Amino acid sequence: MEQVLETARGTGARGACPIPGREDRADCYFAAVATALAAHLDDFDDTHLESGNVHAGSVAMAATLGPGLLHRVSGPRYLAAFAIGCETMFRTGMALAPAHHEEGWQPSATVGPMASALACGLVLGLDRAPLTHAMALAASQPLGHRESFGTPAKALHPGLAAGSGILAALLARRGVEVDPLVFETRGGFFDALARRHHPEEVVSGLGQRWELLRNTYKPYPCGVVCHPAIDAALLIRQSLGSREPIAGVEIRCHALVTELVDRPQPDDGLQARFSVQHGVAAALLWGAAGLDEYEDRRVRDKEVRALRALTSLRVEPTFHREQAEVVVTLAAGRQFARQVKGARGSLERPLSEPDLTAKLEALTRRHLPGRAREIEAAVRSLKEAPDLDRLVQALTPPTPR
Amino acid sequence: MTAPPPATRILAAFAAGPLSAGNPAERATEVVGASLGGSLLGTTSPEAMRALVVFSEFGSTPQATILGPGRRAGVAWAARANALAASWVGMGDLQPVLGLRFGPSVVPAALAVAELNQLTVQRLREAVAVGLEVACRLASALGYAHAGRGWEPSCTCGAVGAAAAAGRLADLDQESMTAAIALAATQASGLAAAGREATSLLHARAAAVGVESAFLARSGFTAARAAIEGRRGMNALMAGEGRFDLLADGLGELWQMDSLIFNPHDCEARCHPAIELARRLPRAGQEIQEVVLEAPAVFLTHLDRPRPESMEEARESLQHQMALALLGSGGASAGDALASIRGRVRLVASPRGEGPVRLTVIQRGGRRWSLSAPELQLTSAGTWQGMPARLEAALPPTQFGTWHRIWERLRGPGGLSVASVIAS
Repeated sequence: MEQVLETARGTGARGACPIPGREDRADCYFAAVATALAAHLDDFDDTHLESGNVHAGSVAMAATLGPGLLHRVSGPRYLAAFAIGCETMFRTGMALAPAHHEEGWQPSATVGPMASALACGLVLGLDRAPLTHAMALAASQPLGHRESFGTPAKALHPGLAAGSGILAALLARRGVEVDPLVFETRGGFFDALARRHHPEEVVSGLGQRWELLRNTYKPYPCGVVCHPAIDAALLIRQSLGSREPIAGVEIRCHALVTELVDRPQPDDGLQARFSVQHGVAAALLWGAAGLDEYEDRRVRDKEVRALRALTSLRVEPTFHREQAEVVVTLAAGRQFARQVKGARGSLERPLSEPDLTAKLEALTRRHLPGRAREIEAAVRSLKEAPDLDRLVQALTPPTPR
Repeated sequence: MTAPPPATRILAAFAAGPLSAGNPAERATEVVGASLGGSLLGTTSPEAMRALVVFSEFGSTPQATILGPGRRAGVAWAARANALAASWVGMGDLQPVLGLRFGPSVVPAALAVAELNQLTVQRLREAVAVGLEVACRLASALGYAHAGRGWEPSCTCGAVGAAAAAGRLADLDQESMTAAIALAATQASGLAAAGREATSLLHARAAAVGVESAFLARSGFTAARAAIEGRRGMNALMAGEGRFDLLADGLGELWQMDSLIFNPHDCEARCHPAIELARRLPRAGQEIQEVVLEAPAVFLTHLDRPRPESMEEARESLQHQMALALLGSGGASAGDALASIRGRVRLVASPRGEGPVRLTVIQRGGRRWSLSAPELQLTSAGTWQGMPARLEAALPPTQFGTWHRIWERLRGPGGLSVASVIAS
């Protein structure tokens, strides 16, 4: 985050747009880049599973917060733009899923630009024609390769997606026009991004069925495919009782786990977010897999390294992606096994209100200590708020950092 | 399976390392000159200015100059604005085999950073040579398959080249340069289907990506070390058949960018390889029975316009450009003959949908000639010599005067600062 802000200063990106959790302000492009990056950096943000794990909140918030504040939009208008931005990301992601994600793209960054353009355009009050041009221009610049997973660039992708959408909306507002057929034309957006795609998903039931209501919230700050195994490991931890030495851990899982998060010895917290071995080891060793357990120093802890080294993965062809089994073998020979068929935080087992409040407190602890309730109240009041002042105030530290 | 060579780090080592004495500084200077001319020309277009005004409102710290208006903006925004204008009219450098243009991305990125850092013209030349070489090498490695998947390589590879050029001017070491190139590769974007106006905006984006990637890397931001060659990297997702030998062989000794030409034809860049071929064939005029042009499928998708109805469409019509080239001088005014030959041009997707471009002309009586793009040699029409006169004809007198003053200083010994040259 510091490096992004240093880059903003180095490239002269001065402006009045807020960056949640920071005293710094920047122009609306760089503020959006920094906002979405921060929202996604811990891999703890919202996830829509059927769209190939699209994380829409980071992009939609970044696309609307700065422009919404500067243009003095009302809370309801902001919420509508935010919701439509999220819905656009989910539906476009579903049109590309699952091939797009499987081939190696990061869907939040490929479908993010056009959703950002639409959300920002709605905040700016654009009508249909410029909105179309803004979306088409933004759609011509999808980005984000999964090769970046485990590096800071992964979180930069949604930031850049949000920034490019804002810019497209501002250009369209000035009368810039581009070919709107980039989505469906041969060799266009869908063809370039997935060998198999289903564009009809974008419009099927649009306005009647809201995918936003099927968005999910993570209990652990790591790749969502790790979650069933972490759940299982936490259940075993409750049974283990005394700290008997562990001789081996086997994670039986869906094939996506080995594809996405098989990283036996991560070097730092970012890499650990894509290591199911770390998530399970943390759960078994410390009884938790929260933000603290993904700190760099915890990831490099000698004991957790040793436990990860004893962990193996086995793909179970019959398992669905919400399913995992963890088998722990103690040095004394006893075995503990737990299977989970629906992870915490999934649609089937959504987080409770107290869970969500606790998550907000954890997320705000570092930069906005004691602000969780104020932020929650400001968000809940948006549906009647005349502007975004209260929200931005709640998100801004009281003194210069 | 054999692991691919570490393409990202190979390019970074080249971009951050010392240059051989034989580096093509002269060609780099010419590409800078052409790009500056393009930037000035682009600002005479009201449509381009609409976008340029938006860019100039960003980055309120005046760090680098937007050519034409002369206004100063943040370094990435100045690069973006100059790139948009340079790309708008389509006059400038050309990679003749693939029909690509890297100058509009690489030069504005380098120019803005050189101006901000008060660097010399010589440093600018070197950085531009490096940036163009990185873009050329990467485009060669990704091959026709990259465009075949719908991407505009001028913008995708241009972004990586721009990062290399900007990174060299930001004094990045090899490790940081790897991050800069990796950051640009994972952001490389631009769909060819977006159309001409969008393509100029994508060139602009590529220049800004280059600057921002270099600055992020200088701040310590990191990215995937195998961003280009990795299993989920740029080649795998956007091309698929990475010829990394073309990327690495002779890098630093044999300069692909030295074979860039300056597009002598007023049309879409991807028409140029076919035009160059057509100009080498005998003038057969009415004797032509059929013209068969084999080209990558993506060329045909966007340039298959047998009956263009406007000058703009004619610029993007392979059939029209073939007819013009085959008729030679006077072809533009030979209305019926032009339409007749256009109707006899048959476009065929290359085997496997990729290159190279191959042209066959069949005369009445069955005589035939055939040429393909790798046989192409630089023609006098594509050298720098004709460019100043073309710019003089295209630019308003005051703009041409500005260009000429800058050009005279650019091609000098190289000790002047870029900032002073731009201020002139």
